[in-house]
Amino acid sequence: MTVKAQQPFEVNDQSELPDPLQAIVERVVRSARLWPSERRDVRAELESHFFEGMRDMLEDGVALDESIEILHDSFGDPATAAKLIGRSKRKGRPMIWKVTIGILLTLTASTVLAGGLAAYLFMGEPTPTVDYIEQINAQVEQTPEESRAWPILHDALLAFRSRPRSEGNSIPYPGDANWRDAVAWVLSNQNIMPLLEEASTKETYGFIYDNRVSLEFIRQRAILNGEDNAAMDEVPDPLMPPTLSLLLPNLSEMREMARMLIVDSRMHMQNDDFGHAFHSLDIALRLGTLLMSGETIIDQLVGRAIIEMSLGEMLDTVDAYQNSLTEDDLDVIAASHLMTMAPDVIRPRFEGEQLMFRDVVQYVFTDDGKGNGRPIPSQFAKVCSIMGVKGDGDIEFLAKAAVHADRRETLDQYAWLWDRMAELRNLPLYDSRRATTVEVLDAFNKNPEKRGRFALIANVLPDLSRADRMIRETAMTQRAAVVVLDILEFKAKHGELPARLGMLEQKPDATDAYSGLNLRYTVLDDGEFTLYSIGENLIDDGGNAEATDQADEVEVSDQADEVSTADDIVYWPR
Amino acid sequence: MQLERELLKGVLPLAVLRLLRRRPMYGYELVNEMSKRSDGVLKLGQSTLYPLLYNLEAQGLVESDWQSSENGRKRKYYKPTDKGIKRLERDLTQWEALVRGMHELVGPAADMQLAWIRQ
Repeated sequence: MTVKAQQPFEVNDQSELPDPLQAIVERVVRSARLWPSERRDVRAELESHFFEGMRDMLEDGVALDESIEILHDSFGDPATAAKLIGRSKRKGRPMIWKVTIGILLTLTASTVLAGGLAAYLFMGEPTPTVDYIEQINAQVEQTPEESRAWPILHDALLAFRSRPRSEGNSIPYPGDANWRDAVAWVLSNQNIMPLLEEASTKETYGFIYDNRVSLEFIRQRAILNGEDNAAMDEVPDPLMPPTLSLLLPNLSEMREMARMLIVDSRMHMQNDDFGHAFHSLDIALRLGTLLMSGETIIDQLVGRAIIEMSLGEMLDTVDAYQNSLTEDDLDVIAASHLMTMAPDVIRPRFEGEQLMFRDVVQYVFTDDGKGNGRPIPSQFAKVCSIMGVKGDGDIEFLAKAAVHADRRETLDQYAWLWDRMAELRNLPLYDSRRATTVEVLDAFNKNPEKRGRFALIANVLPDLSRADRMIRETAMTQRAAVVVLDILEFKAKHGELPARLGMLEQKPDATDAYSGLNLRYTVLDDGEFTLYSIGENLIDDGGNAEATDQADEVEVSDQADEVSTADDIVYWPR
Repeated sequence: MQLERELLKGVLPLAVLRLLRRRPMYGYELVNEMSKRSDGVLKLGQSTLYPLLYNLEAQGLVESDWQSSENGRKRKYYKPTDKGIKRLERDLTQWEALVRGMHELVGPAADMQLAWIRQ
């Protein structure tokens, strides 16, 4: 350090501090971020400090230049001193200042936090690369168009007049207050009956998933029925997974047509025309089984509901005629779809669900092109909202997204679950190995940590086990209906009931889906018979559909803990 | 000998209060006095001393006022407040206990510290 100081030097109230020391003072005072009064105080104190040092050393005979150098070097780092002095001085400031600063800091922190949260919510954008709708439709298009029912059903539905809204979902019987309206409804739709009959003979359903076409379909249906169609002009959200936004207006309309066919059947029954009555129901049954070839689980569940509805009505119809069935009636029954359908038509097939999940994933996660990515909170919340997931709104969904597993881990977990469910679907309901798989699935479903980490799976994956069981039960209903009709045919031919199912010439499949044994068949003393499944609880209640649980008194299978306390499922008597 | 910064940090407020209880002092004087009485062990740089004094002042443990010196320049004198004296008494008690404990561990050297404290 080069020092140029005045000589001789005296410390008094007029003295000026040598430049090197004054520079330190100024640097400290300037950098300490102090109030003016504090600056004055610190400057005066530091200057005083240096003057005292110089005076002391001069008295001890140290040369001025040397004393300045010593004081300069012993001061330490001015920047550190400024920082520490500033911090210490601020501690001593009045409480009102501290409170004000505290508020300002809190506001700043809140603003930063809000900004960060906003960035977190909207950071990342999905980069979908696969058109899963196209993949689903590719499955549909494997069947030639002339073998698909939908093109004909499409035309039929565009001419199909809806029921008056006031009638609800119940189907009236002759004599009911709204029977006349129902008859009028059926008569107004007579022109589409041939189309329904033709469509019902096709090999597959063949609905092409295309929202543009569906929207046009909805618009035309609305025009036909004089309804408001303004809501159909909404612009679709480009960031919504297309598989979740699929419009399926065909399904509710299909169910309505099945209801119309049942009313049509009842009208024929009123005219004592068993053949036509049964035939109308058989068309409804065909429509239901066509939906079983649909690619979504919703298609199949609606199909199952139509099948159950049709089979129930068929058995009711046969019940009314059981003692007066003619040869012609038996011929109609023998030729029906019910009696001739392939055994595996009503079966669970959920493969389309995998494609849908992959579609959701590509809209909820980012993608680095190698299958890795993180959840996009805003997209996650959107999907949860569309899926109708219960929660306290977006904030809860966003919190869930924050702890969610990444893209690859989510897909791996889904694949694992899917494989377990595939194991379930490949085992009959009565197979004891199902219990192990159900246990594994339950372990996932009841584990809060897993459900949090894989909330997307927990929220988007349907209960395939339940759907599987429902469809298997419907297949059993179909088998039971066939057995009932074979029994009645036996009775018509032989004048008495078969003593056991093995006596039936057709050797129908009478397997009880729950027990793996034959459905329970009993000939009663009054010449009637009962046919029932012992149900999900595997307890034989003697054909009582409303029996109380008597588990203590009967033998319970080792699967009992897997099932509910459902009672017998009685197919006959009606 | 220079002490480790962290070790010094806990000792300095006690040492400053202890010196100021003897008589009010200004910054430069305090530095010299501390160095002299601690045999150079507690040698403070100004960048440590003034933040320390301002901290003690902010805590209400010392108070200061400007006074004129014989050469006409003003000096800022510090002295402990009542609160500062109470704190000093408390810290000294703890320090004595610590020194005694250290004595058991390291021997008579700690006694020197104790003697210095009691001066």
